[in-house]
Amino acid sequence: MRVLLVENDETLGKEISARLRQENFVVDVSRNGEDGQHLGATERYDAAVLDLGLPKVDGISVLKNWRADGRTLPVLILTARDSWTDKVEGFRAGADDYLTKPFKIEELIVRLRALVRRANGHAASIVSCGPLSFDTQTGAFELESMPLRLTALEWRVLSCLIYRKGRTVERLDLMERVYDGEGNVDSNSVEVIIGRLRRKIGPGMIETERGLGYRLVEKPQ
Amino acid sequence: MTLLPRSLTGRLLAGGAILIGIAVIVAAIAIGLILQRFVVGQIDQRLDSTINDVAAHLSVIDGNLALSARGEAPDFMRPNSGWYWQAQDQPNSLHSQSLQDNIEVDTPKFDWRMLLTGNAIPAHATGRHGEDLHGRMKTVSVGGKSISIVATAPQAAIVRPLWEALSSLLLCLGALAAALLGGLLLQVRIGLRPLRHLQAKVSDVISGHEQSVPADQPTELSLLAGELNTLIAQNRERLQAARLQSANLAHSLKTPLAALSLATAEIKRPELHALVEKMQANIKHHLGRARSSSKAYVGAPNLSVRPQIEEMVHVLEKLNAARQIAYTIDCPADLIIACDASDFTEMMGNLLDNAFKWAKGEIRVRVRQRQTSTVFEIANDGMRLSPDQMAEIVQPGKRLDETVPGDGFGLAIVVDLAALYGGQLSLSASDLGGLQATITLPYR
Repeated sequence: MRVLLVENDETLGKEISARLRQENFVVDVSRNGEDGQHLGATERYDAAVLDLGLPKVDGISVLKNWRADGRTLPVLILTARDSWTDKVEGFRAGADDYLTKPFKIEELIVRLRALVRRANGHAASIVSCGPLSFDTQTGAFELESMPLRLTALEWRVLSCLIYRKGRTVERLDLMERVYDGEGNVDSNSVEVIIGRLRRKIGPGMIETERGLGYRLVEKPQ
Repeated sequence: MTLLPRSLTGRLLAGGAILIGIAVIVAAIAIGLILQRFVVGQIDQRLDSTINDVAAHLSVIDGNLALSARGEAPDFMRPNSGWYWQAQDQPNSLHSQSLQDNIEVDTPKFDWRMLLTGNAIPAHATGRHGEDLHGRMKTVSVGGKSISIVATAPQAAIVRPLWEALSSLLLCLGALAAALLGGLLLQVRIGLRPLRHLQAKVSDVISGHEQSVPADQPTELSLLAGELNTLIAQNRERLQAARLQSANLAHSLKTPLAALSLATAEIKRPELHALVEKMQANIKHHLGRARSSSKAYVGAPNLSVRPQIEEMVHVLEKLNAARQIAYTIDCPADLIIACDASDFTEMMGNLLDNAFKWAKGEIRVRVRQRQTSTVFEIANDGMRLSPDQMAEIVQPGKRLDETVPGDGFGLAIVVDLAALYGGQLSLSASDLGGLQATITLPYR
């Protein structure tokens, strides 16, 4: 899951992004509204965490501009402004959730996961696909009711596929949601991860659409 | 210690009453003196003509004074009437029929007026019984003798008509004074009415029903009204600046505090984490107090209640998206109240937040208009609370369950804001099974 964090406080930004990465999120951090708005408008994200008091362009304007551009990514506002008037204004601008500082990181993680799940059209917190089930609140995978051990990259790929189960996920899309911005990414490595996942969950569950991408299915055809 | 009354009305009335009193007394004395001169003049005229008549009929026969026949006025014939005349040529004398014996006349000093004009001059005489008599005296020469003729009138002849005139006059003056005092009272009341009006307008500004006092005032008050409006505007600007600064300070502290909170949670130092939480709570508490320290200008009722509640419920639905909470809103669609939108949002937000937080599955918002107030009831089907617990949770920073997210300041902020509008918050058991919070906001 790839998340955009727009937070101008460097220390807090580092703390949040470090904790989110521990939870297998891919995090891009922007420290001002202008860059944040540009990233949110041009890159593919599963969700955005947006501060309101930002340099250059304030958070409410960033959000309004995204919505005006037709960007539907779920946005969680993370701000020190805790009045109900501010909250109402945030939701009016198009926010999907609102968390006030100071906050517990666990709450931010739970809320982010819930946002991503709902944005992918899943009402229940457990998303199942055949023998595979994914607890969106804890991030744990189970295969036939047994815990499934995954590396961070495997987890990112499989969570991305299970959220869009039955639908083809483009290879580029998958790469963007799996790798951090830094470092060179080899498209072949996605193949390698898919191969490893097929060995862990069974060969028939991840189908390859040649030239397009991959699809998670309930029953192997 | 000053004798001046504290009130302006008292001072104006006391000042006016004293001036009216002095004016009436001075008028009474002046008119009395004029009347006295008039009455005395009338009497003197009568006495002088008597003296002249007696002088014309006097003669000296054989060295003795003699009076030829003359018509006498009845007063001079009635014994001891006080109306006497006496012509004296020591040791002989003649006198009127009314006089039984001689009267004593204080011989007046030489008077040049008599010498120049030949007219009678005032003289004081004493009757047989020692009564004071008002007299006139003239010295005439008859048959080579110098005869002094005195005519007197009783003091009552002056005092009685004077008193009769004065008693009527004093009655009229008293009535005039009363009428003037009444007029003064009316004038003071009408004159001070703009001050009372201005005071009412200042009260309206304080209570948030008006933004400023009307500039259209009587000339003497227009300057004061202008200064008051400047003061009100300055006060409002300073309040806004202070609020903004306190909000900025709070917000600027919260971000590093959030970083600190995350760091302390990571290094597993619960005592540091507790300190951070205490700092957070203090910031929240004092920011809340700064927000609810004074009422914003509200003016006429203009806040449409139902859309506000619907939007708040919508926000809380999103904030509680993980839970299935059903809600009903029972509120007249056209209900409008006089309340600042952000104050109302803050009150409703905190109460709805609590209702959503503690509800098992149902929330009901009901708004009713009473004769003098609007009543907002927010009920849920959550935990039942004892009266002691209800009293506890409205205290700032008090929380019943520390594991549920929150800071314990929501209800205290609602209490402060409701009080700002002369209203109140009460908690009771809800028929849905949980808690019902009721805010009562008076119309004005």
